[in-house]
Formats: sequence, C-alpha cells, structure tokens
Amino acid sequence: MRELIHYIAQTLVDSPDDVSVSEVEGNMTTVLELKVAKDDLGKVIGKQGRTAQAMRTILSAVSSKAKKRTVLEIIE
Amino acid sequence: MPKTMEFTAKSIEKALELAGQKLDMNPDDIKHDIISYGSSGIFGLVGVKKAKIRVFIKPGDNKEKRSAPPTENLKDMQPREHAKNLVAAAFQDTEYQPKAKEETIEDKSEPVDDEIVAFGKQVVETIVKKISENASVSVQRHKDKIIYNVEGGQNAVLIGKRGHTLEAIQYLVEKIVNKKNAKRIRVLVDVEGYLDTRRENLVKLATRSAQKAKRVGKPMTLGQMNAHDRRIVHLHLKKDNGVRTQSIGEGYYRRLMIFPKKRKKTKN
Repeated sequence: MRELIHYIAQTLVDSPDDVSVSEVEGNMTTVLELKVAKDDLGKVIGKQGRTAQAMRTILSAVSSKAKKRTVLEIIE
Repeated sequence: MPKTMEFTAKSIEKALELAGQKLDMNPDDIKHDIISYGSSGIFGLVGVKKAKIRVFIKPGDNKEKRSAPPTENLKDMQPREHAKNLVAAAFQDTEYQPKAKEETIEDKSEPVDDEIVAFGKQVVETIVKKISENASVSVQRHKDKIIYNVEGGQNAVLIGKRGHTLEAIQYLVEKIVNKKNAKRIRVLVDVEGYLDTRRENLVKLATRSAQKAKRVGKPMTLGQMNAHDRRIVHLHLKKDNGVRTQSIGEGYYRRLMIFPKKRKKTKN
C-alpha cells in the first residue's frame, strides 16, 4: 500500500526524490502520510482535490481486500 | 388523398395521445390540424370546452408505423452483444465523434508514442495488481487516445461502487501520462466491457426519463453523474426532438435535467 502511493506520487510530481510516505498502523485503520516538495503539493492534491480523491478511492479498493481501512493524509 | 379522422379530448396532448393509440402511431409523428384548443373553463366547471384535432392518415403511413410501436421507435438502442463486440468502434461512433472533429482542427493527429503507451500500461498494471491479483492489461491505440482494457481478476473491486474506482484509476493514469507531453492524450480504462454496459444502461435510463418527461410534461432530473456520463445522456437525447437537456448546478451537485419541449401547434 505504501509503495503504491509512493509510486503514484512519484510519477505525478516534478521532483520525485522529495516524495516520502510513512505508514502509521493502527488497530483497524492505517494512516498513510504523504510528504512532497512544496511546489508539488498542488499536483498531488489536484483541482478541487480530485487527485487526492482518486488516490483515496484506489487506496480504499486496495485495503478492502485486507478488510482494513486506510486513510491518506497529505502533510504540508 | 389522406383520410382524416377527428379526435376530441381534454387537451390537445390528450387528443394526440388518443389518436396515437387508436391509429397505433407515435403521437409525435401524427400530422394534425387543431380545430379547437379547448379550455378548462372557470375552475373546470363553467365553460369547459374539449380540444378537437383532425388527424390526417396516409394509407401507407399507417402500415409503416404499425411495425414500430411508439415505445420502441424512439431510440435505436444497440443490442448488447453488438455493443460488446465493438468496444473501440462504438466509442468512436457514438461518443467521440464531435470531439474528434475538434481535435483534427487543432492538430494533425500524430500517432501516440510507443514509449508513452508502454509507460501508461506500466502505471495501469502497477495500480491494478495492487487491487486484484491475476489481472492482465491489454492496450488498444487510437488516433489520440489509448484504451487500456483490464481482464481477469476481481472486476467488481476494480470497478468499485458506481465505477468510482475505475474512474479514479483512469483519472490518475491520464494525469500521469499527460504530465510527460504537452499534447493531451485521452486515456480510457475499461474492465471487461464495463464502459459499454454502463453506456447502455445510461441510454436506457435517458430514454425512459425522456419519455416520462414528455408524458408528465414536467422536467426530470437525473441523479448525480460524472461529466462523462452526462455527456452520453446529452448526446443521446440530442436526437430526440421532444426534449431538451441541460446540466444544472456546480461541481459535485451538478445534475442533468430533461425538459419536455412544448408541442408545436401543427406539425406538417
């Protein structure tokens, strides 16, 4: 899951080296924290949050397999 | 010489409907003259007049229409099998024609780069593999769009509720693919003909709603849809002269409305 978001974020942004994803695992839910370069913030959020929304949708599809919940947070 | 018949009812519309039933014709196709518009009087009590129309029947006309009853001749719905066979062809036929015209004006369409296609495929595969095992991706290339077809795997999960997951994958892939080059390439991601099935359903829904709008005489609102779905409905109902479509609202709350058009007084 972490790799997937890492991969998507890296292909979306201009400076892929600055992308980092950390995983905070909980009992039921996992929180993924996505950090990108300041200039790329808009790229991973998208217009009206569409890109972030799309990533969350895909995440929920992936995690539904494991009967878990995953929350994606984009850290400024 | 056309034969004529007269029908009376509460309103012109009702009279036409009645005529349609009697003659086994689509009310929209009936040639008629209005003798009296009718009025509901005061509170429907005093001075009630019935509407009267004269209908022209051409001897040949009737037979022709008889073979196609009013409910079916409105739309030329594609049979399911046919639609499935022609995934790509159907796309070009019905949906992308107007778009394609625009694009040819803008640039002489060059074929999509191999590199980009391969890169896009890799992206689709990476995402799809995470969601579902043993799914494979095949590519179809068109003038300036790429269609990735995902086969196998758990397609219910891949599609998601009302196609949300599929939409998300498509959106991300399109974004990633187009990041590399200036010219916009359209990307479609399909799971075993899901896009076709959805279009069929939308067309059916549109047809039904348009008929209802015409029957009731009030605008119909279709539930929340994405831009692509609305486009299908708009294009489909463009052929229907009895209704007009419009999208109302902004962003997430944008809805498609179908308005019945007022019937013309005489149709010749």
